This record gives sequence, C-alpha cells and structure tokens, in this order.
Amino acid sequence: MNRIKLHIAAALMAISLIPASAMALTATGQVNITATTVQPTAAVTVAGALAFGTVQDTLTAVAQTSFDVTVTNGWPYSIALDGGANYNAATAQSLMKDGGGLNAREYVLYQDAARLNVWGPAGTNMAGLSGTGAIQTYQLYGSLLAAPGTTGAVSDITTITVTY
Amino acid sequence: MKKLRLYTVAALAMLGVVPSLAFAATQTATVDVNLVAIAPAGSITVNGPIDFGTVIVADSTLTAGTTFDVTVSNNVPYTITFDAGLHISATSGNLRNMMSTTGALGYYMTGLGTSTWDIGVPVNGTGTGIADSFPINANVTFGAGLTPGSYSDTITITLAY
Repeated sequence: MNRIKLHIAAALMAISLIPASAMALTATGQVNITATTVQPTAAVTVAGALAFGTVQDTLTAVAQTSFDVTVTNGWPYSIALDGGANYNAATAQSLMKDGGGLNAREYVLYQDAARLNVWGPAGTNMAGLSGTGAIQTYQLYGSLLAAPGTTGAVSDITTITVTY
Repeated sequence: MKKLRLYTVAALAMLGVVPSLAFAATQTATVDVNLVAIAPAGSITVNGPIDFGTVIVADSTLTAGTTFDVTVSNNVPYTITFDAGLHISATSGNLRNMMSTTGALGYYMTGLGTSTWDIGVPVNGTGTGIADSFPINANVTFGAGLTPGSYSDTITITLAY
C-alpha cells in the first residue's frame, strides 16, 4: 500500500514541472536586409572634328567622325543632336558660318553611311539604346552642300546629348 | 486466552475500522505510474540574408527574399512574430526601413500566402517535430531620387511555443 502511494506522488510532482501556460518558451532568429544603390553613369567622348577640308563653293563633300558613349550596363539611353549653334529651325538647316556671319554653308548630319537618316532636329534622334558598361562607338556622317559664292573658313558646333 | 481474542476482534469489527479480510492473508500489488515530463523544444534558423545586391537607382520595385526554418516539438502550438526592424517607421503601418548614413529606404515584407509578416502580429502554427520552412520576401521601390549608398536593416523573428 505504501508503495502505491509513493508512485502516485512522484507522478504528480513530475506533472507539476510542466509549464502551466503554453508558449512560455521562445527562440529568436535575425534577418539582415541589405541593398546598395548607385546612380547610373554616362560619358560621351567625341573622337574629333567633322572636317570637310577645303571644298569649292559649288561642290559638295562628305566627312565622318565618331564618338564614344559609355552607359551603365543595362541602362537605357538615347542620343540627340541639337542641329548646331547656327541651326535655323524655320528652314530646318544646320549652318557653318564664318566669324562675321557673312558666309554660311549648309551641312547635314546622318546616322548612317548611306545618309538616309538625318540625325537631329531636322530628322530623328537615336532612342531605345541600352548601355553595356563599356564603350559603344557611334559614327557621325556629314554631308556638305554646295553654296555658290561663299568663301572662307566656316564652322559650327553641334552638341551631342545622351539622355539616360 | 482463546475466548478473549475473539472478543477483541469482534469489538474492532464493530468499529468498522479493520477490513474484514484483515489478518487472514496479505497480497500486495504495485502500480507503476510513469510520466516522462519534458519541456517542448523549438528552434529557428534563418537561411541567409535578404540581399538586393547593387541596384541602380530608378523608379522600379524589386523583390528579394530568403527563408527560415522553424522546428517545434510535435503537436506543440507556436507563434512566429516579426518585429519592426531596427528603424521603425512611425508613419506607415507595416513599412519597415533600411537605413544608410544619409537616409531611409522603405520596404514591405511578404511571406507564405497572404502573410505579410506584419509588425508584432503573431502567425500561428503547430509543431511537427521536423523543420517547417517559411519564405520571407522584401519589396523595395528604388525611387529615382534615392541617395546612393548602402542600406541595411535587421529584423528579429521570435518563435514562441
């Protein structure tokens, strides 16, 4: 009889060791969240002047140069030309002029060697391009129109704008 | 002497204290009641960080994620609760923030099904004795005006069981 009593008492004592309320125990873990953000970058380098050389006033000429564009890999961009400092919006003409502005010769810049796609306000700009993180080279093709009666040195400056 | 003993037994029987079979024979039996009382066990393991890597600033939303494993004794109920991280946002519900030296980058979390691991809201489960895996995803909108830098946060997950 005594032995039975002792066993029951031991069992009850063991039961009392179980936590009275559920979820008294906890464990924790930690999650780190990180991000590094950077701005896209772009650079433009023009190889050299678009030089037509010496051209008789009644003749035409062609010339070519190139420029390098470097844009962040995978980043979209477009390239626009402004038509030059002497651009005549009314007539959609790009003009090289001399210092006094007396002589002018019209020229046209193209995206292609076939000179079909005018680059700039008189035509279209290049859009939908995508950077690679490395240099992408674009050729710029120029055509000089005849301008009877003009003499002397003429020049213009065209601005290339890369939008990204 | 014999006569005297009979009287004594009769007297005790009248008091009702002594069992009727007392002294006639003795049999003993033991009943073993065994109970192994153990505390329920629980553990949580986070399987790596949520790392967006290097992101070019733009008006885009990206998602990155990881998982964590919860192991709780079989049939033991448990809850999983996410805290607000290190940089609590007082202004917007469950928006958490990563911080850089110059600013904050907000993010929202998503998890299994409809769970968004809301701040301080327990998610209930029942242990199986083996690891239950849960996803954690963070959604970040990298706005164009975001200051470039390294952003980070740390969330603590509490498993109660």
